[in-house]
Amino acid sequence: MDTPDFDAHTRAWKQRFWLAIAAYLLVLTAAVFWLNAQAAPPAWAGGVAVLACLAPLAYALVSAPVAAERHDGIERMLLHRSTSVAFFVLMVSLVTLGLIEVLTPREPISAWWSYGLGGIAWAAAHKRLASRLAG
Amino acid sequence: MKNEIRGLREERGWTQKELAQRLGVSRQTVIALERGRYDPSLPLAFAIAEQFERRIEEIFHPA
Repeated sequence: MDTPDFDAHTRAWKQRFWLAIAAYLLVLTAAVFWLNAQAAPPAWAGGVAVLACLAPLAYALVSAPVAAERHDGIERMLLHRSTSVAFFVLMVSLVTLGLIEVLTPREPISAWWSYGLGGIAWAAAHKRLASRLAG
Repeated sequence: MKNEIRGLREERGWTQKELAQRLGVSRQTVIALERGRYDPSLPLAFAIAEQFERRIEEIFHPA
């Protein structure tokens, strides 16, 4: 039966992940400079900048779950469970945010709150589950 | 699900890390398995049975 070295595999995907994040930051910085250098940026410029940033970011974000899926063990379970919790929290917070905006006369609330809550929920769920399983 | 992994591993003098390497999983997975907090997938259960040269039902028992 094929039993790849777990530690070597983990090191390899983490290296790919951080290289992709570095590429994302590089492209994002270049896009910001390019947009700021334009006197009157054409309508399509923002879209092109987002697309350019999306490729390395998508690769970075997809590489982690793909790596976890390829390996058997608690990492796969942790990924599924913590993503389920984060998705639920994100959806509930987005719906709540939408309702508050619709039902109250006030300035729109930044969606960063919801994204932040989703991220925190993912990290908290992952840490709690990991310590329950193997802590 | 209860299992005999810890006893079988210790009989062979393997560390948790060594068993993890033989199975291609993390040490945390072996810890969770031994504590009965994680039920392995069928392929992993077969790999465990192969390592210990036992049948699956000799290693895993319903709780």
